[in-house]
Amino acid sequence: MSDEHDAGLHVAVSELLALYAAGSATRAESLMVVGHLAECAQCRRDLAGWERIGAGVRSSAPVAATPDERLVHAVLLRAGAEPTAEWSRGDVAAGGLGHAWAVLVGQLMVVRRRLWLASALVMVLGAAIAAFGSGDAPGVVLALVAPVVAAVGVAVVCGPDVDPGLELAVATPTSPRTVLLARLTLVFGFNSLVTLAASVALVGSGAEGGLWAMVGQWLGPMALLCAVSLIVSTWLGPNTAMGAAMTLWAVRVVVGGRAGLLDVPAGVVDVADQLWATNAVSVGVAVMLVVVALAVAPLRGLDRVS
Amino acid sequence: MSALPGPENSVLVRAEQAEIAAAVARLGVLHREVLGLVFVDGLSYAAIAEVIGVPIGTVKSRVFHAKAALGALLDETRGDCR
Repeated sequence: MSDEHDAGLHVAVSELLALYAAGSATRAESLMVVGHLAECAQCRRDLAGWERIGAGVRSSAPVAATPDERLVHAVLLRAGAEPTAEWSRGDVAAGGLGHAWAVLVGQLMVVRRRLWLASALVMVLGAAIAAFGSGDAPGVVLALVAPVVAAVGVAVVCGPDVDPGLELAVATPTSPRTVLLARLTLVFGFNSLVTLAASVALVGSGAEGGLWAMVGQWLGPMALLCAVSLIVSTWLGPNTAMGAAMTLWAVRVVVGGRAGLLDVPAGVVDVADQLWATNAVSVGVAVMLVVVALAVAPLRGLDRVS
Repeated sequence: MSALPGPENSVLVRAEQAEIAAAVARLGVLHREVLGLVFVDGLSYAAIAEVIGVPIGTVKSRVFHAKAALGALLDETRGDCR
């Protein structure tokens, strides 16, 4: 079914590429094109061809036989159509909330399948907690597993190896920074929501402590681990990022006071607990890492494509 | 699938803009017209169908064939140069 759907989408998009290159695709059409371009090398080549044709046609415009401008205008009025270029690629560069939303939706189409995988993992986790958990334990399990699930999602979705988004960014005025930020927002937001839902369910079913205490156990660590995963993924690729996130988290669990598997000096445990908590330090470090990753992203993208 | 990978893309990407413009001028009038309506007037397929009075499917196939024809013309010119 998926293949048939993809084939249908491919045909629909390949018909739209000329309009997209001309900047006259509608908003909905442009979103569909952007989503598909990231996954289809053939359509990217087609678009490049259409862009060359567009430049050629415009530079030979007096030669091209076009109807009287007034006739075109009259037809447009009669058809009740506004000029179609209301959301074209020019606007993509213009920025603004509308643009941010459009990029998010576009990336959602690209990222969707990978997100389902992460979703399935978290759902299995939720089910396991519901089945075996009781009292205080479910919150701890959630706080231990949710950050690493989110970080693995970020690693998979933001790495250059599986990232047609960077090529796409070179073919359109959407910068690699925007694409990366959109993906990070999607994966982090999605995982936060799912984990929040699980927290609500656990508190509702009588787990100890309030909702915010439970959220505090995973939110800061999730942000920090995702930020580390993002920067390693853009720098060294998704596999390294997954390994790094898991190793880092394993070290944290071993060193951390909560699990207390090893005899570690109290000072080290204190520092680890400060860093892996929901506070200004962890969030500050996470934001700093994301900023560095975004600053580095364009250079990496151009390196790879050229 | 009807839409085979377009071999014209590679020749289009390699060609100079002036070469493409010259090839556009040598296209048949129907192909030239539809490309002008898309890229100069910025019309949708539906609007183009109204302007030239043909079904929308015909517009789409003309656009598709105009690209192939342009690729063939460019190939020809490149062949002459050799």
